[in-house]
Amino acid sequence: MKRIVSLLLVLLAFTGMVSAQKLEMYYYKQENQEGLKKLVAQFVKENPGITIDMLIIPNDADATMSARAAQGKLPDILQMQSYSRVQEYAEKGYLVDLTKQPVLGKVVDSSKPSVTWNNKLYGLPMDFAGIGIIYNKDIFAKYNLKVPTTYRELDKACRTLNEKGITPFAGLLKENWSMGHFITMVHTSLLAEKGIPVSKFIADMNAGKTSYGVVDTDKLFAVIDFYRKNMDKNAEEMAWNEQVASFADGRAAMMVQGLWSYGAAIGANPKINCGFVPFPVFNDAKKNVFYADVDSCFGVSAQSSPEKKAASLKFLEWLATPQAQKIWVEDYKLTLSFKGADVSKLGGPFVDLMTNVNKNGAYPWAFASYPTAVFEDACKNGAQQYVFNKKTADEVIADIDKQWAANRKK
Amino acid sequence: MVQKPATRRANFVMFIAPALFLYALFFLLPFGQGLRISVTNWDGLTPKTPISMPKAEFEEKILNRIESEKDRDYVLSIYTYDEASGEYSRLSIRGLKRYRLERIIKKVGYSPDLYRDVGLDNYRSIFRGQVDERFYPRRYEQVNFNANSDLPQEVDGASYEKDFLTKLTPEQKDLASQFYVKRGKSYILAPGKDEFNIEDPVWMLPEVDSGAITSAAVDDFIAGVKKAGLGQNEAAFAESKGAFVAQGKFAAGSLPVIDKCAQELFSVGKFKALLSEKWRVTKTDLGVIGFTIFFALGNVLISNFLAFWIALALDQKGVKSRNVLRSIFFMPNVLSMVVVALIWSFLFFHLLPQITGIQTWMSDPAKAPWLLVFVSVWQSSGYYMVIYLAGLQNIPQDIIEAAMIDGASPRQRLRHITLPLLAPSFTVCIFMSIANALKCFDLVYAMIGPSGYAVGTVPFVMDIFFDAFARKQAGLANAKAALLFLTIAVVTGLQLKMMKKKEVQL
Amino acid sequence: MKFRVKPVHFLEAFMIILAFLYLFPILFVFLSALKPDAEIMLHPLALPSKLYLDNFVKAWTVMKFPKTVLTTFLITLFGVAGILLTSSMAAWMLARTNTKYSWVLYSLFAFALVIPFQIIMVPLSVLASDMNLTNPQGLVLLYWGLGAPMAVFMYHGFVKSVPKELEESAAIDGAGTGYIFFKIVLPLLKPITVTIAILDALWIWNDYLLPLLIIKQGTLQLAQMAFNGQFLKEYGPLTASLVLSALPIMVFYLFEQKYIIKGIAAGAVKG
Repeated sequence: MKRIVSLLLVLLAFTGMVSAQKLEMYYYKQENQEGLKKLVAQFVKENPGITIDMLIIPNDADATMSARAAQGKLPDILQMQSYSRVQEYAEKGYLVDLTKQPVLGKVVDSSKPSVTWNNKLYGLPMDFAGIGIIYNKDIFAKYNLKVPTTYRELDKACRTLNEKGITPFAGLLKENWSMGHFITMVHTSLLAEKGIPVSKFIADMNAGKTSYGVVDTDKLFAVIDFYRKNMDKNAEEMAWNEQVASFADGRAAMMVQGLWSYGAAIGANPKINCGFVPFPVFNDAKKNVFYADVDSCFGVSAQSSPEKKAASLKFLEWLATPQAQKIWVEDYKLTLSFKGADVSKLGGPFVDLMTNVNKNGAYPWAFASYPTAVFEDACKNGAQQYVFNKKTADEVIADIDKQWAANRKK
Repeated sequence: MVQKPATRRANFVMFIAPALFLYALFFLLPFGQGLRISVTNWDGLTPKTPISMPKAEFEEKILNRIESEKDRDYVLSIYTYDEASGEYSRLSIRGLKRYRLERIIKKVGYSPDLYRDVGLDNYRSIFRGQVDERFYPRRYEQVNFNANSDLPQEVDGASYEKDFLTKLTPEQKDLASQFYVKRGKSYILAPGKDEFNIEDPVWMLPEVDSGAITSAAVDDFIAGVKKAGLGQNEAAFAESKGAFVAQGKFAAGSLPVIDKCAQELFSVGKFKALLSEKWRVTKTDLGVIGFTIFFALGNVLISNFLAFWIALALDQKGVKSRNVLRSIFFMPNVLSMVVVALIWSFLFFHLLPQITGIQTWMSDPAKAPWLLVFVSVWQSSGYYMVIYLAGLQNIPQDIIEAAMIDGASPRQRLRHITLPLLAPSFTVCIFMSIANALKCFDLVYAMIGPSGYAVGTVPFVMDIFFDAFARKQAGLANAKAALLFLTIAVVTGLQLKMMKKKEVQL
Repeated sequence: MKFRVKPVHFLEAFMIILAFLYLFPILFVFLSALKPDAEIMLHPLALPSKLYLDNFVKAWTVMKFPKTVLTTFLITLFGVAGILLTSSMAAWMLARTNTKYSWVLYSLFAFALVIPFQIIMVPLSVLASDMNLTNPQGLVLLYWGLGAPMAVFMYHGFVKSVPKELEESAAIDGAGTGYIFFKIVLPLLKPITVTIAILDALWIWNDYLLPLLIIKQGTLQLAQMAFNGQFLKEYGPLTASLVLSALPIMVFYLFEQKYIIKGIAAGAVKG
């Protein structure tokens, strides 16, 4: 018996599946994988001693990472969502403190809060992303529509589009994340209207001193209803693919999305001519700015061997080189958080984003600072259940409060 | 016989040991560890032993409390002190080393905040109904219109008539008829009652257009009047309007415009309040428990019925394509669940609306559970069919022939010969289908994912999965898992016992 | 002789229609694999307008198909072989000894049939890591343990239907237990062995979660995920990758399927 087992094992070993020592890098942005592969290939070429094994887990990311953390074997380099994910992993001790790494000196200061926990930096902020309205310029020109800067103008544009038989917003209700973004972003705007800084709001929530309903919730849900009313009729059936298809085909004139969706739309229809404007929550145009923040970052596992840590840090340092930045922009096709980064090659909507943010500022991605369970469940599922008429506005707010209380961050 | 008892025993052990050892190691041990986790408040991410800790805390909570010198040396061989950060930290450790460290640290009474024994709290909260309401079956009121939003341009006719119009008094009906007019299958909002149109003249006022009056002021005025309208609160109405007009920069011609807009919005409010209050339907949400039972029942009944029926048909003499058909019916089993889910999701979205003209399928709480059962039956029935077919072919031909000579009709033969002799097949198929349906995860996860909470199609295992990984309640997840296991074991145990008894009687 | 339409012909016609419904989604995958993404969206049901093989080319290269298929094949092969060997031995011994222990042990095996995998997932992956089993060889070992309950359950049933006399006379002739099992019993178990082999091969070949946790990449199911993103689904290459990864196992099934009825029947029905 034993002999058979060892024979089998030897046979397996001979097939060359036993891997050599190398770094393992986990990433989740499947839609940008080609660019990342190119980056890694270039890095490995320049650093012959290091190889990087790329591990993509687009689905089940939380489950797999939890299992890996429990195994004590997180990948050496981790791509993470900014804020909460970083804070969570940093709090449990899984991440290397990068505060003193030279590369962190090269990122713009405004991106640093996204990777900060306990006054230390635990990640290298990478792509700066904006969420707003991606609109089809040709459709707007054809019907002589003004690009909306206020809520009322948006309403007006939607009415005209509806009359012309064009869906205003490409729908996405089958997956819950988009509505999760939407509710939390409108909420962020409304916080600003009340003059409450996001950081204070989050701290107060964590201290149990305020409620999610501190903002004008009537307006919050009225905007959600308005958004839903102007989507495709079968938006509940539509996932991201279908949303992008609806927009790229010109069936819908706008989609409320991050610029990662622009890449997909242009992939589906290279001829589409797009612009990017903030989603106007208010009738005061000045208050309508983009929701823009650091989307993802790279961290290094604190439990890797010192040699692997050093190699991983080398990769992070390398990302700031002009050559890496060039590949990042041209192939990864997202903006980046390094000082003086040139993103002009990314195309119109990206330029719209950067110009607008530089001029008018931006609202942060507050949801990234919520406790992950609150955003993942109470916000995403709550907003979706509201749209499906399964929960009332009050219930959604009460649920968020309840779950936040149970998941307070210290 | 020839063998000595000692040899026999040795053989017994040798033959059983490999399978038993691996099974115990990779199945029973993790299951036991799961039970252990179910009495903690673990969040699924916190390590049992700290990865890094400030020096003072580490010494106070751990190092100084270790009694044995050997243990202390051992801990210090794993944790290293870093001057720069002032922290003790450790790299990844595995296997026995880790177990030893965990034992030592447990002995000194340290446990992380989110990996602490909580006794039976998790179980208690499940039984007391304290976990998320979506877990249990419940009645809830579906509110079809949120009074704080604008009136929709178009509403679904069927629901508007059935769930709203029928509840109204004649006067209220009269009011409703001023707002919504039937067109085709929908009701359309009368243009004069459209809030956007009502508000428009105010926005067009020269004072507003020039910016003399801020848009925030207009917003406040409109919001105030609308709010007053909902409660038909005359005082609040006058106050909102008064505050706006009192800004004092309006030309005389503007005031009637403001007045008209305010009056109309106020009157619309009455209907909005009515619509919001009356257009409600009490609905039942199966919850996780209810859906799991529905899914299991549907699966067991339909897939067994279909499988049995197909087997019976294929067993008829004269069906020439039997072998080919048999292969085809089994074919869905060859595909992975993820693939199956992907194909059907695509077909439900692109094909069903084209064929039927009905737009909503997987997102319709009335249809989605059935569609999931359908796909699951499609995949699993071929497997059960094979078992039934095999059972049928095991029935001795002479018994059937004897019955035919005795003049038994096909129906009688089915009832009195085939069914009783097929009892073992039924026992096994029903056992497997109950267990598989209650264990179902992949299919529903790939077809609906977390949106299942909005549609009401979250099976038990998926809920456990979300508890563990999205809601960070690994302890509760494991407690639910233990209960699920117990349920499956009891249900299948009872079923086997009952059906085996029947088999013997026949 | 004239052809007469009999009720059974209607029945057969009906069954053929039903079979088409069963087959239709699978055909759909094959069709889609031969179309560009845009065509899949616009005309999901139409035949491909022209032969379009780019999806296959892309799927082949991105999945590193030859290497991946070899890995998957080896894992499946050794996984199945180990399950068959250990489980048949255990099940035979349990079925042939009529003691309290054997009943208890048999029940212990059957107990696992009702445990959902997701429940043991995290502890199991930690255990595998502790034992340094997070490699293909380790994965194979895990499958031996995880596959045991079903295999023992089915073998046990089958062994009971095999007459004892042959083994008894061999024992009287002085044959050792090993000889009896491997030379006499195992050949008799062929139908059920093939059945379990098919079912376990399907399971291991199509498994996603365990390989993801243990070896992270390298099998067909994992490689497919490059096209099946949380957000972005590239239907063309995805369906092509589905065809590529399902074909070997389908061919295997079609060749061996005539055994499956005999085996399942014997194993399950008499269990």
